[in-house]
Formats: sequence, structure tokens, C-alpha cells
Amino acid sequence: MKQILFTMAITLALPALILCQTNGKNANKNGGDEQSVRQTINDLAAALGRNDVAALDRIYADDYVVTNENGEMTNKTTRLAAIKSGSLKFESVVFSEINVSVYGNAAVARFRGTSKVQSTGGQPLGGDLRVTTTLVKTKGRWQIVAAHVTRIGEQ
Amino acid sequence: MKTIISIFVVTFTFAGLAFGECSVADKKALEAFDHAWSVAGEKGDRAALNNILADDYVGLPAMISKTQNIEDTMRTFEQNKANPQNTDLFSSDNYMISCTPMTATITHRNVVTTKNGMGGKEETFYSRSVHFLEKRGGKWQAVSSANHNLDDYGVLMYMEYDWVNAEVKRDTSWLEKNFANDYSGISSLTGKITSKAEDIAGMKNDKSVTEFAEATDMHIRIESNSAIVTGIYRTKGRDEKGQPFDRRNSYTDTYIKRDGRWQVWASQGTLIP
Repeated sequence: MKQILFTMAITLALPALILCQTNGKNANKNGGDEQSVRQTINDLAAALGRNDVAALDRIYADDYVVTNENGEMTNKTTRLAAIKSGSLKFESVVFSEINVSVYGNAAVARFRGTSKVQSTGGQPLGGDLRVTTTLVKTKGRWQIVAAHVTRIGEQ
Repeated sequence: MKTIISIFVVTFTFAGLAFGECSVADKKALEAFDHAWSVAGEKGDRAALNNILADDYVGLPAMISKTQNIEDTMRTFEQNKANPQNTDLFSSDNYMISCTPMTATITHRNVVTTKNGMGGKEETFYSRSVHFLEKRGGKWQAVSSANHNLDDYGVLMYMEYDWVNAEVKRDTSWLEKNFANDYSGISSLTGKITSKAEDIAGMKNDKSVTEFAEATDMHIRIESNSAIVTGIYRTKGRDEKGQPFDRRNSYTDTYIKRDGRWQVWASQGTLIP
């Protein structure tokens, strides 16, 4: 009899345990994604600061496009080539005021960027900036698909 | 979608060159014809529908005859009459019209809002119709029509155009409806972050006058449940001090598909020369 009761108890308790775990997992899902997105943005700042093309290659999605503070659009290939050749060189990069919104496999991260940049040709880059990035989670990994940069207090 | 529109533009341009211009008055009359067709359907006016549709009318892609079309329309009218609270709201806009003395093509977007959409919520559907007309016995008649639903690219493209129109008309209801509640914008002039409420208040209190606005160089990408639209937004008008302005912004708009519809999630612009 005890054996039967024990089996019943286990049978009833297991789904409850699994349910609790599932709910817990779901409850943490958005928070986990938000943390992952924040980490990606922090990794971006570090990679730009080191001019680390290999790291940026992982952070930027293949169809990544950025509109810089001069309104010029650049794709991933061109941006990485410019950093690799040294025609675009980040001397310092600090991101602050990071705000993240996550919905499903998409996220928007907005932040303030302060950077010193050396670039050959074109207008000067860097300064006190406001940035919006759009990220998409593919195969469990957040990557930046688009970014837009605007100077703060231009007018 | 862009390809489809390009084909339309090329077709209409060629038709215009080959047969002469379709005058503004002709286009107005043809748009009025189309509206009269919609009204006849809404009011269940069988006689009007009988005049509007040619006897050999065919509705594509299902090859619907004139008789079948009128019967279907009348059935919908009767259903709406019995349940007015469930009647879908229908409107047409974004007309493109071309004509020769004896033939005409009318194409427009359809916006249908149903109160009983997914999950019992209000839902809006978009499609585009093409009507082919001939002048018979001195009056225009529809000889065939085709209709297709807009894909996500088409919906987003029109949302961008609608947004531009809303900016010009100071239509805060568009922002109210289409901005996500967690929307954020970044001003191209100051870099300041704004919320949905702040953008709506900004539009309400804006004392400047926008005389012209257009979005060009539009590029739309859909990534999972999000979309990124980039382009150039040009506005001309007078600022609050009456000084003329002519601004060009390189912009990035991020959309999210939430509750079955696309909503503006983020927007940022950068002034360009």
C-alpha cells in the first residue's frame, strides 16, 4: 500500500515539479535574454575599443548595416575592412545609459556612446553619441543586425 | 513588392507615352467611379453594381463572373445589415490611375479593419486591387479586377508612407495606433531620447509647418519578428519662428510584429547635407 501511495505521490509531484521548472525557466527567459543583449553591447564596446575584427565579425550579423553620425550607411564587409586596414581606428569607446527591450527573438538596445575615432577620408567621426541597435537571436546567439548613430546636442 | 510597383510604374509610363496623358480630370472621374463602386457594395445597390460591372466582367484570381460578384456583394450586404456591429471597416487609398480614351486601369490599396480578428481583437488587413475598365456606350465599366494581399514588405512600405502623411497632417492618431507602447525615438536634431507619449505630445505642440515631406531610398529588411527600414526622409516647411527649412535625414526605423501587426518600435534619424 505504501509503495502504491509513494508511486502516486511521485507521479503527482513530478509533473508539478516539471511545471514549476518550466514556469521558472519562462519567467527567467526575458531577463536572461536582456542580460545576453546587454553582454553583447558590452562586448561590442570592448571589441571596438580593441579594433578586434574577429570579435566584431561574431557580433555583427552578416547583413549588418550601420548609419553613422554623418548619416553614411556602411555594411559589415566595408566596416570590418576599414577597421582591419586601419583607415577606421577606435582610440577609446565607452557605452553608458544602456536600455534594452526584448520581444521574442528581437531586441532593441539604445545607449550613449562616447568615442575617439581616427578615420581617413570623409568627415570626422566619434564624440558624444546616441545609438540605437537592433539585435536578432539566431541559433541561440544575439547578433546586431542594424545600428544608427546620432550626435548629441547638434542643435 | 518593389518589383511589382516598378512593373506598375513602367507599364503606366509606357501606356502614357503610347496613348497620351490621362488628364487630372480623367483620373478624378475614374477615382470617383471606384468610390461609387465601393458605395454601391456597401449600400447593396444592385442596380448601380449592374451598371458598373460589364456583362463579361471577370474577377481574378477565382474567375468570378458579374452575376456571382453581385450575388456575393449582396450576401455580404445582407449579413452586415443583420449584424451592423460586426461590419468590417473598408477604405481605399494610394490610387494609381492611367487611361486612354477607351481604356483605364485603376489600382489602389485596400484597408480592411475587422473587429473580430485574431484572438477576438481588432485586426487590419491590407491588399491591393487592380481594376481594368473600358468605355462602353459612352460610360466606364469594369471588365476585370484582380486583388492580392500585401506581404509584410508591402505593409511596411505603406506604413512608412502613412507615417510621412501623418507627420504632414499632424495626425497623432496614427502614432497612437502604430507606435508600440515601449517605442523610443532619437531626435535627429538633438539626439534626445523620446517615448511614445513624448512624440505624440511633440507633434501636438509643434508650431512649425511642414509643407512637403517624402521618404525615399527605402530599404526594408525583415529579421525574424522584427523589421528594419532605412531611408532618406526629407521635409520642407517653416519652423516655429517662421524661418524656412529644408532638412534631409538618414533614418532607421525598427518595427516589431506584436499582436499580429507591425508596430514602430524604435526610430532614429541623422541630419545629412
